[in-house]
Amino acid sequence: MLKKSHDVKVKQQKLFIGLFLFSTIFSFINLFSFISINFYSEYFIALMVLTISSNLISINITKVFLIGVIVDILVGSILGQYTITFLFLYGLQVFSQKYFLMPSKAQAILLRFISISLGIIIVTIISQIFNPIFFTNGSLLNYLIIEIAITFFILIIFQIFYERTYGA
Amino acid sequence: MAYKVSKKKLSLFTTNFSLTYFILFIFLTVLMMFMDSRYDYLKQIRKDFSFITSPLIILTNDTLNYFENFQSLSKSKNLLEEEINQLNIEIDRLAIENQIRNLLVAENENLREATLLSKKLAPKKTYPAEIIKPVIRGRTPIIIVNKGKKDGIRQGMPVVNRLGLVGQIYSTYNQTSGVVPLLSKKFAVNALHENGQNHVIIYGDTEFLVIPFFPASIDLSPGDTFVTSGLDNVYPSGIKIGEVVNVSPEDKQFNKILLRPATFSNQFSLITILDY
Repeated sequence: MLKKSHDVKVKQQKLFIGLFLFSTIFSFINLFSFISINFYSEYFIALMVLTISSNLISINITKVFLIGVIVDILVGSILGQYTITFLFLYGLQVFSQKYFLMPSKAQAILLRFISISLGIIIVTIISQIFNPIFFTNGSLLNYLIIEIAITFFILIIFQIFYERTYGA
Repeated sequence: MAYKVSKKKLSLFTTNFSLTYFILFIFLTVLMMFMDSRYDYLKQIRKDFSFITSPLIILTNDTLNYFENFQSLSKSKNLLEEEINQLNIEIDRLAIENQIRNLLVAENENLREATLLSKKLAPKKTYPAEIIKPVIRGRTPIIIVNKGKKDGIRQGMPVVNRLGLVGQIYSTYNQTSGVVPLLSKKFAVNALHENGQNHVIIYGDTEFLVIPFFPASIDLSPGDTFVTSGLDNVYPSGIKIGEVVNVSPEDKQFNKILLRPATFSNQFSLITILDY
């Protein structure tokens, strides 16, 4: 594996903290209320998918757990909602690394898309169990599709910032 | 020459990932969820860490409120003067209404005493309070009011204004309290149809109140109103909750009913907390 230079590591740690604060602030703002009043985009899932898949900061299972607990305290419907989601995302990443040690660009994008979809489905299921919203027939599926699309779009923006940390 | 590969290296996870730790953490998380759903620890933790989260919540909410209020701030002087005149008229009207209310309360007490009716159904005490500001905590809208523990406010007390039910006290602090408004997803109330026949549970659903499964065999049309039933021993009976705006079939047996609340929490800054 290529080693990151010290400068890049520091930049990426700063970027992680910056994106974490950004996600926290924007999670409190219902920016996409024009789509639906219940709609909150999942900035933290996008951030964790980027962090786990791109090694934004050196990460292990304990750190994933602790970040999950912090996110739960900040925006979770119930303690453990984001923790379990992040743990499954971490598990999926490790599992996929077994089969795609050097994934092609298309494979990497697909893996991130699958990670985001899995994350949002888990968060929505837990929300529906503990804090249900009554969806009419089919609207839950529409909600999931829009949520996944917007979270993936946020991930792309985060990815652009991440790639900038390597400089020109 | 062939090397013998150890079993560990051939296992599914060959990185520094430990499957045992993974299962242990998943178990711990499930335990956390179970404990939280049962004992509501997250609320207490949020209270303890509010010195970190509050500035962020205030920052985001105040920024939004600033933009929302910008339009009203930029009103011309004439418009504001006209508004002041209107408000003065409203104050006079409310003062008269308050006098009538006081008279009715006194009369009600006298009548209850005269007819030897139980005082159980009447609120023991009412606390007038003022809304400080609405905030969003953990994606749940909460209204902060200026009465707290030191004024005798307890969790669970119903909150009303002159048009109907506003919500319920969710958390209490020394000088302030948090109210869960009607439209919050955390809100549920036992209700009675205006004809006095159908009992239902009404839930908050962000934009409207909702009765998710109402028997399709019972006639219900837009404009019908629901009031608190008093069966839950939380809310006094007869407080207006809302009126039906939409009846849509959920399946062959049930309809989904949407209701517009009788009052919105941002309609009046003055509310009344009932000790019931």
